[in-house]
Amino acid sequence: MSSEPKTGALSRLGIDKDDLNNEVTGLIAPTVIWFTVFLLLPLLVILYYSFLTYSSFNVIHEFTLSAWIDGVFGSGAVRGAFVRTIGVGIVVTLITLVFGYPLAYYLRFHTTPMVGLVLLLFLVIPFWTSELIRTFGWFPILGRNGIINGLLMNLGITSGPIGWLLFSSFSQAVGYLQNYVVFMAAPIYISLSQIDEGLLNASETLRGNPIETFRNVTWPLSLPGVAIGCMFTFVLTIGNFTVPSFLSGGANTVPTLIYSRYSQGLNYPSAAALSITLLVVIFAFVFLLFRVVDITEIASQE
Amino acid sequence: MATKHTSVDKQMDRSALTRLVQWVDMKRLLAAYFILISLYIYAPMLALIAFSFNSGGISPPYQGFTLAWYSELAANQGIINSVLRSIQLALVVTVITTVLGTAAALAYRFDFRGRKLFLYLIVLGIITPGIAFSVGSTLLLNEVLGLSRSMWVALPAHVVWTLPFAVIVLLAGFPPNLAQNEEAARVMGADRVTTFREIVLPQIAPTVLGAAVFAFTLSYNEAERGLLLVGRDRTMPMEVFSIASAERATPELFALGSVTTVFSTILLLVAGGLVVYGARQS
Repeated sequence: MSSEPKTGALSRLGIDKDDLNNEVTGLIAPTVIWFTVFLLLPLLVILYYSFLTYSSFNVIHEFTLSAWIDGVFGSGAVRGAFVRTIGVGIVVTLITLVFGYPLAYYLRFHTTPMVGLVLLLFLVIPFWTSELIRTFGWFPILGRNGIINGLLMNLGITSGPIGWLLFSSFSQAVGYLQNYVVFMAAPIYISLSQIDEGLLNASETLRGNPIETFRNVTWPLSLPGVAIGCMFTFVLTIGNFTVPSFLSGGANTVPTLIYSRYSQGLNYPSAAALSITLLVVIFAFVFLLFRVVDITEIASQE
Repeated sequence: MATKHTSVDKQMDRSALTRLVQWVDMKRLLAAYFILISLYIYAPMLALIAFSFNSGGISPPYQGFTLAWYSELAANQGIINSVLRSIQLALVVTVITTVLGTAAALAYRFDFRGRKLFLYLIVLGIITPGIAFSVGSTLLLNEVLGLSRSMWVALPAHVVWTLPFAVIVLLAGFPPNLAQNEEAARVMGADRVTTFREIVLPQIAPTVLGAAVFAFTLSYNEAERGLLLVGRDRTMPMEVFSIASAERATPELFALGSVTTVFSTILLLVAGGLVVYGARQS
């Protein structure tokens, strides 16, 4: 569904190119201005503040690298938090891919397009409601006296409650996966929907083997969706503030560290330097991914 | 490539695996998996609702049905005020998001330079970590521009969060033959305003309404982006955050969470229905 014929048709009606350009500009300019002023500009202001320093709750407006040297590169705690944050991001992305792919596969190959869309919307519903509130919902399930421990003890599988179900790496993984599995499945579902059925039938006939067909046809053709799903999951995971705040055992990730730099003494330069570093990691990841996988494939066929 | 240097062993392995795959009914297996994943995704919300009625509080055992936490919630003026603030903010965010988002999505009827660049710009609003964005917004609005902290200072940041989702929903939900119908009306001699009012608007109205409801829900439930901007004007999710930071979760928060979840879900079902209805119209 290329949009070229549309413009061609409209221009045949005597709407000249300038008119068209004016209309497009008028339609998108307000959003572009809003995002420039309220998103890009704040990011630049963060960059500027990261080169300032502070003493006793006041920012000192002189150029210095101290926020970077003391607050980012020289701090073992920060390095630890970065390694942990990125490690968590990679692990969560892989887990989410493993759980999300079969979900997308089911929706694509074992339901009709309409049912697939409706089921996807059904799974997206929890995402739109407060992440904080959803996070607390795990307490009665995973807690020491929680439902799972009660079940395990009743069945005689364990004699006492398992401590590592809540406020641990396990509960964080459970929380992240719940947040992002649908973010992973949705773009994969779109990619899978664009695969030509004839291609799959041909492969089935030639190879006569569903695994070979999956490995050589389905999987490679779904890669753009996998890439977008991984991007969203990784980026949202390492920027997530709620899960490490309320489901972890208390170990800092970069977002919780940023918040504590702010809340414990309004150390803006230090919070700014950390935020910039987090953004650089995110942008580098997105950039690398776009180099490896051509995501325009998925956009161009829409 | 793979067949060239597979050993006999590997080939036997593979055919055994193939037989296993063919033996297991993939469709049923995947359907069962879908049900399990759905249960998992909904589990925390169901637990929240169940335990908000537990007289024993927020952890098992279940000691009996009570509405006590709900009456405590209704009596908590701090929480009620935060809910009212959230609703006000979300309403204004919704209006701005819907107007900007609908305009932007309508531009995609045409081929224009920067189609992709524009999408990258708005997706930046989703991938920028909430807490880092909050730091940037407070530095710009409170520190550089000197605005005093209030709920309305969080408005721009909320729109940056809700607008990308609205545009995605609108692009997905607009009927595919929108431009053709518009063209037909123009060929018949209708002017631009009439065409928009009579042809375009009725076709996109359900989707726009759906996107508006999505935007409202997202803004109402958003905590991080406004966290550093609002000062003492805490909205509902921030109030929840501050109570939970001080004393972990309380039964009252569970009651609040249940009410929010139920209302949000009803709104979202309505919105989803509108978007699907809009997309099917042709």
